[in-house]
Amino acid sequence: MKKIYIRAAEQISLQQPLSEAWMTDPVSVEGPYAPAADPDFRTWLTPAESRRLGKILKRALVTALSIVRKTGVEHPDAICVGTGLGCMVNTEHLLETLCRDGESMFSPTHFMQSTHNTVASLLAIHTKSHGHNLTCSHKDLSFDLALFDAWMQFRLGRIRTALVGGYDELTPSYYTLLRRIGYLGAEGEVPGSETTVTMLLTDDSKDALCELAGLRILYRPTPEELRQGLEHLLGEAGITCGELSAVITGVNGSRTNDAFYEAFTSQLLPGVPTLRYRHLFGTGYTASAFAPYVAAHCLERGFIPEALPYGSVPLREGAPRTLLLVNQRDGKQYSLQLLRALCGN
Amino acid sequence: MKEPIWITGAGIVSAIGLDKRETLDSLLHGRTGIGPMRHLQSEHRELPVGEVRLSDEELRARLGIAPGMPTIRTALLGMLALEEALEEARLTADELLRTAFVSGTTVGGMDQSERYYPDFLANDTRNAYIALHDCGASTELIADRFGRFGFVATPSTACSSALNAIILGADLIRSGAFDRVVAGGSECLTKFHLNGFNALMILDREACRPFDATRVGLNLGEGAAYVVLERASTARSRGVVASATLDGCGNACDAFHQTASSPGGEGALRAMREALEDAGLAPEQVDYVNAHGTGTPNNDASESAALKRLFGDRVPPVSSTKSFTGHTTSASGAIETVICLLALRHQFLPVNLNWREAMPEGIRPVVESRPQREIRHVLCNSFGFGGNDSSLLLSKREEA
Amino acid sequence: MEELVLELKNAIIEALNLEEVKPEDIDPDAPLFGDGLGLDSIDALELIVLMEKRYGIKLQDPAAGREIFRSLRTMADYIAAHRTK
Repeated sequence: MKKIYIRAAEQISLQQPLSEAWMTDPVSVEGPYAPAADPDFRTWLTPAESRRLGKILKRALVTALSIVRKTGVEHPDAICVGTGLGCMVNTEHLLETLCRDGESMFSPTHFMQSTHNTVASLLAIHTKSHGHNLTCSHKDLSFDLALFDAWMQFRLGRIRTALVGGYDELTPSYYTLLRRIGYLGAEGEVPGSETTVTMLLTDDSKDALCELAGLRILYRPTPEELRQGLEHLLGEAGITCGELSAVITGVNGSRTNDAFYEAFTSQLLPGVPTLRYRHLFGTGYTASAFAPYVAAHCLERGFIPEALPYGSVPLREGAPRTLLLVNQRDGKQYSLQLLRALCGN
Repeated sequence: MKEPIWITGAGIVSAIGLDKRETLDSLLHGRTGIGPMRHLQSEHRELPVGEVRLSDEELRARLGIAPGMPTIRTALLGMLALEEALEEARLTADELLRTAFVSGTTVGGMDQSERYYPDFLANDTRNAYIALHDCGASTELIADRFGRFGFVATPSTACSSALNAIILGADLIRSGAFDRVVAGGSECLTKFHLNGFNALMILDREACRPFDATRVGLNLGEGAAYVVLERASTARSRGVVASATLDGCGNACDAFHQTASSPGGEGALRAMREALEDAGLAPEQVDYVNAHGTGTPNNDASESAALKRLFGDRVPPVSSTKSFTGHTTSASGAIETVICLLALRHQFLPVNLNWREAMPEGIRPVVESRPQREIRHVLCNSFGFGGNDSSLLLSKREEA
Repeated sequence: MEELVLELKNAIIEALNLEEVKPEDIDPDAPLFGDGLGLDSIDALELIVLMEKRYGIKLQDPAAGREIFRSLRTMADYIAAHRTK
């Protein structure tokens, strides 16, 4: 079975855009809601190219263009995207129009961009990629399912490169709605924010950041099924719990949701150091995309930034070799990923 | 040799019926479901639609959902279709644990969001519907009614969502992740979609005329459909039979424009070709094509071009059953897959209603349901905005 | 009429998000689509919405737009003749 690698990974978030400065010099963000920090789009896109694009589209495109520029992979074989709410700004605009002006004043541009697959389509148009193209929109699993889809395409021998991304934008009014339903805004929670993560997967280890050694998605698992899922994931990759350098969780300060992570790490991975990332990148439906982004860069640089560890288990000596990533929401949807450093790193 | 994927169950709800039996009857008798708006509360009464004949209240009553329980129409339609599919496949709650559920949608809970949006912003009275707005929520609502599936996913690729759900389902089986997947999609009519398509000026004020020279646009429809996909060996060991197999899948991207299809139908051609190659079949072995055929000037011209590029001057019988159901958008790929299954099982060609005049350079769709030869292999096309073009190759199962 | 032409220039720049274009850059007699301003079919739909919103003109047939939107001047003429607000 051919191995799969993460070759490049870029982000636009609360941190410095298109940069790994967060590893040594993280921006700390307070407050319940904070939008992402954008790069100067004009250095990437002409006014004609960007005039109809909302922010989420510009962000996705710029991260993808940056990866194309860095890796020289101009036409990825597959494009797999995850988004929880799609181009929310367009949808919101139309809902407001509908409620305020009635039914006759819909903007075609806003409608066209309100469908969830707009991002994947735009990436395909710009990279002239006619291959496999799929968008998944399933709550906190949206990105994880996109990654899983790409993984299957590699496994089935259909592709050699895939652009995989997680994208969501969050408006102040939608933040209010997500707060109303308790999805965001618990006391002590990290900021609700926007996500742009794009990565390139390849079947070639050359210049890769790390190996994507396995992944698994579970729905409403019992504790026993979760344990078995983890066991299979590690077993297939040929490693034991004791060999894990750390586990990266999606803890975000929400007491009810964090309790599931706590149960997972304490019961299934006692003695494994715990790392977090959402305090740096914010939280939202596709924030889980930051986990492999963070892990890939840690494995490539061979160190764990100071801002990541939490909990009582001290980090092990030496460069991290294998990282387990866990993403879940309310104990209902679970996603596990295993990332491994390249040999000789 | 790949192990075949059997289709051991199917369920369908649309404007032409609440199950397979009613759907078959409408198809055989040329009875369209497109007509005046009855349930959707839109100002655009002049636009014909393909509504499922039951109101939300009637759907709730039929499904035994309490009146006060918050729900969305996309989920209600999905539940009805999923129930039929699971029944035919004789799947028990226990077996669902080792079954994946993949359901495509785009509108999700938009029917309630567009009704209550001012409340969403102003107060806490409609919070239950905020929580049901996103696509994943409708999938889980449908899934959880029947027990506990081991995996759920919601593909959302506009009008090809449900077909891509079936492809994702096939990939789950072929990659070894699951032996059994229930896949399809659900989508209800909303003012949001109606006005969106209206703004794009692609809605016909009369009954749509796919592939006709005088076509001006589509009629929106709604519905849901699911198929139970199963590794042949697993199905055999459960003692269930299948009348059809899913032999080929093609997912391609037109990569041309955010809404328009390319004049040569590049994405469509690639999707069909890929589905055929995947099935190991040649174009001349295809006995029927259920076209995407929305009735818009752009789609039908582009799809005709793609069909001619693939089949040359020997285009097999082609029809768009959207002339019966309307364009059921994100559900259409699954609804039309089930229509193909009915065509394979009952050996008839679903006709293309309202076709009179050949379009220049266009294909001539089927108007006579009696097939000239045995229907063994059919292609089912489903294309979405953004050039998300997909195609399935379905076959009549040969008794072995 | 010149007033309406200028008003339209500004409205089009705003509606179509033509950040880099100034009103004086638009030649009222140059084609709006293709070579001139370089607008496309989606812009045509936006212009139809604009005519309805600002001038109360309802266009049912997208093909009719082709003549009306030949240039800014033809559009202004059409609006002047058909506006209801």
